[in-house]
Amino acid sequence: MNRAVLRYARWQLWDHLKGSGRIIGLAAVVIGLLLWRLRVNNPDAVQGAEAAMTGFLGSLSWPLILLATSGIISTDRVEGFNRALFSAPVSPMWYYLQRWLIGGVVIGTLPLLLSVSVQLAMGTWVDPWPFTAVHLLLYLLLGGLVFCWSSFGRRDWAIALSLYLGQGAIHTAQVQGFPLPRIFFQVNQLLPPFHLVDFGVPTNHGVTLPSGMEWLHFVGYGVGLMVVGLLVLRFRPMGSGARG
Amino acid sequence: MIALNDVSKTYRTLITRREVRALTELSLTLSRGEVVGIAGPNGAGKSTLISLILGFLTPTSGQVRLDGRAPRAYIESAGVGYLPELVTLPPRWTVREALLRRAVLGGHGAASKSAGLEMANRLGLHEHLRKQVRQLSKGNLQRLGLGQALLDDRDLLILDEPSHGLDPLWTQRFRDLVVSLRRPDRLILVASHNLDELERIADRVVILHLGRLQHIQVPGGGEATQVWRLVLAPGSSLGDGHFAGATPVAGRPGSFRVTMELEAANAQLGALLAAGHRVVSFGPETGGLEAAFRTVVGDTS
Repeated sequence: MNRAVLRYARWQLWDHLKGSGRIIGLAAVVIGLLLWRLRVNNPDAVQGAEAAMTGFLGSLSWPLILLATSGIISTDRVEGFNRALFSAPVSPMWYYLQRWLIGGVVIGTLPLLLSVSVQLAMGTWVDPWPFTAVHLLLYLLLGGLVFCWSSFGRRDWAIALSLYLGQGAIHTAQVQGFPLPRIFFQVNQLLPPFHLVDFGVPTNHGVTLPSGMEWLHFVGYGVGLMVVGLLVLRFRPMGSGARG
Repeated sequence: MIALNDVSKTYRTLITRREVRALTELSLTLSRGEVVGIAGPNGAGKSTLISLILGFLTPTSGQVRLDGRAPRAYIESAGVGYLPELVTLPPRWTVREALLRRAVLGGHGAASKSAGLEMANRLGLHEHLRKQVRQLSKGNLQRLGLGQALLDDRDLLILDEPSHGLDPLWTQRFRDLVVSLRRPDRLILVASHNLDELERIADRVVILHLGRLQHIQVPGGGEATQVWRLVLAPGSSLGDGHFAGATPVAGRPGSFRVTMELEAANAQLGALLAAGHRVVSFGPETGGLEAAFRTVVGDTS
């Protein structure tokens, strides 16, 4: 990675802050106000602070990850912005890897900001770090999936969302013993293992993280998606015609 | 500096695999110190050629080398100044931001801000610094693209339709700019539909047609021109054997087409003036490049 790309990090951070960062900030404020209102009306609601945090994160995490990563590579390629960018002495591979990593940093602030919101609204502190771990692992897998597809072409977020929802549906069917044709479960073995991380359900007051070999499966899958995306950037030409 | 050896590029449609040959067996060597023009009708392969040189496309066959290296390897270490045919930048970026970002990526480091502002001043963009890209006129957007291309002082400059959208004043300034950018270790490549512009600024003009290199014209070879246009002042006429064989141009009184070599034409002109006739203008019927272009693309009208 050359120094110019590293210096450009602050512009990429600015882009993420203007996009997903703004929505994260807004969500933290709105949720804080909602919880404060809830506490005013019902002082016992403080007991449910952690459950509220779990519920909000479960609803916000994956859409924000999709928002932060959608079109991360493909938009530049489709709109022709890549032409000015990569006439500079810059490797597309490092440029987009850095963009993705900075997106992870911005996205990773969501649990911390929600914890602060809960603290201010309800006066009780919820440890954000287990939630941050789940959130960032989901960023690795779901954000990695978008990154990988984005290196090939457009509609990256739609494909990633379909796989995310599809895998979730098949896994739920499997756990609940729903009689789906065997092929579905075989295909599910090949899909990203989203089920290994979960913010839990409000009644569980906790998170689900991979254990043992599941870690290897989960992290290996996410890193593998990133590596495929980076290899595509390294070896596939960036343009489809000089008109962009 | 740029070497293309038997380069062909074929596009295939995804579903039907129908082939479109954009370039066919193109071989060309371009050296530092030159200003080289690329001319050709629409679809001739100019944009494909530029994309291949920039490494945005790979050839179907043949080889492209920049200083002996693959295009992306060269660009990722040395960079190029590049103005695309269509300047496309995120519409919400301001002019200042677009220049500053490009300066940072170009490796200006701590001097990025001053480099960006200096370029804005040079191209008359200082009054538009706070404007968003989407608010710019075509001409100002073109100047912004030009500013980004010229920020880094690279050895290779590629300008695709550089004066497109510029007003006459800035078109002239652009030509002066190209002259000032010439240096022995720099290659400037200019693709344009404007043959007059290429004739003024380029040392050589590569004419492409139907994906093939058809001709390389060296502008300024006016002495090779043999067809001239003579315009006489009202009241003057050709006679006494002056410009024998001159043919009147239909619909243009006092205007004649003359075919002869430059030396003979000068002698005839001197005799005509000495005989008391008044001449409004005398010059090539068409530019040498234009004539070559017409010959190449088969338009003899």
